[in-house]
Amino acid sequence: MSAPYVDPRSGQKGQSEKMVLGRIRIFRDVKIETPNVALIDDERVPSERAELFIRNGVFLDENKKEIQLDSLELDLYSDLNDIVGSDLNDVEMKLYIVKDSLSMAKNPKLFARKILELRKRVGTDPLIYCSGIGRINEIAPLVYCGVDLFDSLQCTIASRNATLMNPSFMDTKETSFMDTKETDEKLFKENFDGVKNEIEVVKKAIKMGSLRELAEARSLYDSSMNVFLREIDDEYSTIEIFSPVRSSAKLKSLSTYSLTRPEFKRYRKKICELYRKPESANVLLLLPCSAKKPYSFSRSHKLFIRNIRNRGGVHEVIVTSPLALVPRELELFYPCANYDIPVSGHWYEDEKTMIKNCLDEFLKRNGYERAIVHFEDPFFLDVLKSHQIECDITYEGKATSPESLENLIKATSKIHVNGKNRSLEDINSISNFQFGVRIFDESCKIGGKYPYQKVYRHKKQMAMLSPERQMLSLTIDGAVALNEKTSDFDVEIEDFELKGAVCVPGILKASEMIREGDEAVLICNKKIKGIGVATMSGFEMNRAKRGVAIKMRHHL
Amino acid sequence: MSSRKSMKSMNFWRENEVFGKRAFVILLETSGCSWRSCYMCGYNYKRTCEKSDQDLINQIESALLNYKDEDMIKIFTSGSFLDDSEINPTTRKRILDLLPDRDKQITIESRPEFITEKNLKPLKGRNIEVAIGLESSNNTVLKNCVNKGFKVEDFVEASKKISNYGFKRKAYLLLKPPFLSEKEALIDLKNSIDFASRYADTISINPVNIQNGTLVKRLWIERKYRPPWLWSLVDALIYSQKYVGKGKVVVSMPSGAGRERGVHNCFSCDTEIIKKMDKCRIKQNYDDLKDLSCDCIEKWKDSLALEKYVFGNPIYP
Repeated sequence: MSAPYVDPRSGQKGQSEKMVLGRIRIFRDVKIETPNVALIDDERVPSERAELFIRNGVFLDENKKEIQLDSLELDLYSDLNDIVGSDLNDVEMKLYIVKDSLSMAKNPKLFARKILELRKRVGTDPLIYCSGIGRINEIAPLVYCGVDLFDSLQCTIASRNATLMNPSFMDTKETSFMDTKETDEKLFKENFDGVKNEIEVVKKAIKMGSLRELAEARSLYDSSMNVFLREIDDEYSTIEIFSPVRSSAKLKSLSTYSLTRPEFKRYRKKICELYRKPESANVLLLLPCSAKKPYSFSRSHKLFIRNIRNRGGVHEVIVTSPLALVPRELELFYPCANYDIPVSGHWYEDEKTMIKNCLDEFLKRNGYERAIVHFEDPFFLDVLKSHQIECDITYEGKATSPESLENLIKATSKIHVNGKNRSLEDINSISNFQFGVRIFDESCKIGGKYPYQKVYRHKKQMAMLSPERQMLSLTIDGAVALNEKTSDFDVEIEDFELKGAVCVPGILKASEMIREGDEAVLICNKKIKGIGVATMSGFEMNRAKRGVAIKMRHHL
Repeated sequence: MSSRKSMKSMNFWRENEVFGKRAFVILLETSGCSWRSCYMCGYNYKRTCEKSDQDLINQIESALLNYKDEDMIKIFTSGSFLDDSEINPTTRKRILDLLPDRDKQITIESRPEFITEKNLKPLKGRNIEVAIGLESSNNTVLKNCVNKGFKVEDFVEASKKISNYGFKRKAYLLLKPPFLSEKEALIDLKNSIDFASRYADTISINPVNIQNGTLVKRLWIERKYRPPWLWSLVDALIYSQKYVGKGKVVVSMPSGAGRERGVHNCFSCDTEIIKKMDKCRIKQNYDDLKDLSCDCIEKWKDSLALEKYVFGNPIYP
């Protein structure tokens, strides 16, 4: 029988935490918690306390009792197509052992691609064990990419090379006058403790939703993991499936690695390819970002807003890295309200290029009569020029200086627009960004106090926008409106009574457009039965064998 | 010992043999081995074009100009001396007649399928040693790890034929063919030594080295293969001492030893070990090797014990 999950925080039976690809899982009947590192149980390896052992290819628990796991050994280099080529949903395997991890790790580019491919093919249910892998700096990036189990071989190798592994710096050479054997054992113990500790750090990071940050930090001092992480980001179409569309965690963007983080890349892709501005906003106002999020809660942006005249006709767009452009109405959206970047006023050339390209794409789809640039170092002016948009530069000295703000008033005073429908247009722009369609018609009314906004039609609530949810949450009426326009968020379920959550076995077919955190419309016999939040991607819903897939919000 | 580079311009060299004897080695460039499918063998890669009979004779004659009355002569063809497609029987006879001093030992190499009554008969009366690349006494290893193309039984049969003519028998054994871990390879070699001691007078241990154009090279590039540890060779030689004591000759003259592509340890102890091994070979007593030590012996022991945890992939470079 399949093993049930236990949520490590509540101790309740249910879905494990799944954030990005790394996840914490505890199997109740087989006593194995991942991510984890197994101590090789051999006389050549000093005996230490460990939660998990491995002996002759078999995992043992802390009391060295055998753990029964249906497993399959495979070679990433040669077997992936033969063994994993067929639809793996038919094979119920709890553990995949990657036999050639050690040699693959020497080619991090290929390793990253193959591991990710393996994870995509086997789905998220089974465990993946990379034999012979487990240096401290390798663990976080590999867990981020979907690996669950490691072993102590690298600790042995490090200690034989008189090396002490160090997570926050380069590995150091330890020389000692002690007898070699004693030094080796002491070093092994320190290294293995380091790895066990790293496993705990990784688990904490998973719970906080900051595994990506940890993976980036760890790859700083390890050139092969550095390559590994970049290669994962290059496999955007795969890693994106497993990246959530909302999270309460702060997304730290502290290095250039973050530029290619899938969440950021997805946002930019949507801005370039999907976003449409509110119709009545004819003047583009480019503003600098603020450290405080959402932007409009910061001192500088409060000043800007107070000094903008005819706001109904102005489209405030914040220029920032790594998101490139954030239209004002999207400021509550994930990851706009979550990211954190050092505000130094200094731009890397990479960031400049990225922003210019985004602005170019953005302007191809969104036309403006005029632009106002309220920005210290407007390196993107040539892009505006190439789209024949006339620019007013209102910046003088400092963005919030009296002169700058005076200029802003002047520049915006001349605008004449009827911005009566602007709030509905804004909500529809959000709807378009979130769902790819505009679901609210002319008869909809907006209520509530910013940042909380509610959408009504004929006095019935359809949706709500809140900074906590970071996107639109729909009611049943909203779900009906969404379903009329698109089936991208549909999940077909079997006929059963809906309560708190829908588990995977109850799902017949889920749209593969759904990502963890998305709205999911529950459909049974072609009728809408409810609306909830997906706790896994549609891809996983179609492949997983168990676990909670959707948390219910409303049902009939 | 001579390196491959200098051999290009020179088709002979001299080497020290056991018990202080000297050997004159002639490298005869024929059309090459007709099997040429072994996983570790680079001769398949550089098979030369057909050689005329006169060309072969010329090669022998020019090499013999340098012959200085060494104790024995070895003729290596990078294939089989007894293979008619490499050297036709008439030429073979002519070559043997060119060699001076009918009593001196002449070593030739051949695959067992060419060791037939018909081929051996013309050699009768000469002091011949026939060397066969047995590689392993395990048919599974021969088939799957070497792709040798014959079975242990074929070797036994050939060996019997050779001794019927009163010729000496030499067996080449391979240390660490691909797809075996260090430990499996060492066990296989020791078993093969036990076996070969029954059917051969001399055992020559050849650690695999990385030659271009081979499967082994590809595995090595993919980091799935590492040439054997020098410690494994030392261990096997110490093990073989029990047969040396009983009058068998055991030798090993590894090519590329102490280098990345050949049998090696940590590169700091290699030179000393290789020197000592060569001394032991000449005086045929491997007991002295027991005193050798280096920190890297722990890594070798790790490799023996722990490679199974990574499915035979090498742990240390």
